[in-house]
Amino acid sequence: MRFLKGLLIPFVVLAIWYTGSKSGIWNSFILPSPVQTFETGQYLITSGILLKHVLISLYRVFAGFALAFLLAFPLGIILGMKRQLIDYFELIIEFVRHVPPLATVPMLILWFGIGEISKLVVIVLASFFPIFLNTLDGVLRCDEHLLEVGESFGFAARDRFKYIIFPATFPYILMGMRLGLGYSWRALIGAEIIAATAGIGYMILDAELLSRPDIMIVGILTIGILGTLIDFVFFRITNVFVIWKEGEKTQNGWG
Amino acid sequence: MAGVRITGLSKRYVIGKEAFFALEKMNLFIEDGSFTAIVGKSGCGKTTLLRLLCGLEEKTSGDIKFINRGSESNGSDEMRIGIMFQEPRLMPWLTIRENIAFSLFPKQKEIKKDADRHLQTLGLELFKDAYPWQISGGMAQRTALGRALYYDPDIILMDEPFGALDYFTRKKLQNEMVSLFLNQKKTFVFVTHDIEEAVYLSEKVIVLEAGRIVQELPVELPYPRKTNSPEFLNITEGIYKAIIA
Ligand SMILES: Nc1ncnc2c1ncn2[C@@H]1O[C@H](COP(=O)(O)OP(=O)(O)OP(=O)(O)O)[C@@H](O)[C@H]1O
Ligand SMILES: [Mg+2]
Repeated sequence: MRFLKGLLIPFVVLAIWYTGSKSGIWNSFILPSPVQTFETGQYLITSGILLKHVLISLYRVFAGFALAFLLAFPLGIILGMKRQLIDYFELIIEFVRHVPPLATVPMLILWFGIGEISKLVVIVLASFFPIFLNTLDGVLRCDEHLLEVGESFGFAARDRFKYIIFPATFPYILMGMRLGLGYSWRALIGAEIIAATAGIGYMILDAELLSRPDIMIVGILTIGILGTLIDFVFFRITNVFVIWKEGEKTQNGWG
Repeated sequence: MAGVRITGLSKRYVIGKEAFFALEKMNLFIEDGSFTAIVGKSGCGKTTLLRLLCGLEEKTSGDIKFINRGSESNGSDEMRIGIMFQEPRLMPWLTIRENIAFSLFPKQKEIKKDADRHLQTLGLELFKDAYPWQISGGMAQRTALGRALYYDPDIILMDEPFGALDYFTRKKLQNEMVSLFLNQKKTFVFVTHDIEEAVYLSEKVIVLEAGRIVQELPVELPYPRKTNSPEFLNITEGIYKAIIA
């Protein structure tokens, strides 16, 4: 039911789009009709062109995201456990955090060309901070009272981490990963539009050169649908692990 | 089982620029296998004493010696000291049964049968797979008690464990405490605001006032005690006077 409600506005937009195109209110060079767009979409799918671009983009996102996680997760944990180290990192992190990853793309092209490395770096830059900051936040917020319970039972530092800090931080880590995944998806498309020879972003840019707004629309729809799908799948998989955070479950949007 | 000998124990805190003693030159002997209650006004140092005993706080000066089978030791290394805090402090990501077994997580692969025994005696078996947010405050305190018992400590420290509970639940848990004490060979140290509770449960009541012991009162009544008997009322009144004096 909720899903159907959510479809109402897209349907209205589609109806306006359709009537507008049909009655010739707007030029099809600027906005092609939904029928034409649909046919283009069908062609891109059946010919395998869309799939090729999608797979390349997805591959980049997951590779970059995995790399970002491998860097951000341990750093978040270490800084959270050794708070005296935070002072050394605070300024630089604050600085880098305010630089949009896309702003580094021209520089990256200069250094690495338009190959895979520059895209990978953009994604790492985009997803590193949400993962890192949420992990750090989770560790820092770990209830002192619960840590004392472990201490009173004589837990060694390693066990305090394993049995208290990590499980307490886990929901924060997942939240950071979820945000990071969303950020890296967006940053990737940007990077592909600026510099790439394949990928969804490239497909959209290429459509501009060909004056094919229908391809652009198919590209945009693909980006939105895939982004939503990735988030949904990630949420479903991870939500199983955080059954204990009942209050927060409903706030995540997917019900 | 173990006893404790406390000599000249002091704990100094500094708040802002003011330093003060939360405990001052305290001498106390806690007998092996005894039930000691500690009463006193808010801020008199009850929690501080328990935290020093279980090593969560460093003492400023003085000595805490644990006596185990006749031999004294400084450390609590060979000694298991379990504490039940003023709040339940359950791990929200663990079920009730897992919370009870928490103390031995690093040491054992599987949860021992003891956990189920405690679940049963504490009336929690229906909720063993529930999470802490799904149970009531009284159940949470019972879970915390189960967790302390599962640890199988020589000394069990309890900091106003029933303070936040309603009258009926408190009464029920007090009776459970008495039978636990009679059935288990453990040393109990029980902090409470409630004089009646102290006299109902303990063999000795310690009255604290501003970090010092102002009275030690043995309670020589057989269990289970009747709170309306003249002897009982006599003792509670004596303690009451010691506190308001
Ligand atoms: N970590 C701390 N830093 C500074 N002062 C402290 C600290 N912990 C306790 N105190 C002080 O020590 C005194 C004794 O505190 P304590 O918690 O032992 O009281 P209490 O008898 O348990 O009181 P209540 O019945 O309200 O729990 C109080 O004046 C308190 O402000
Ligand atoms: Mg207290």
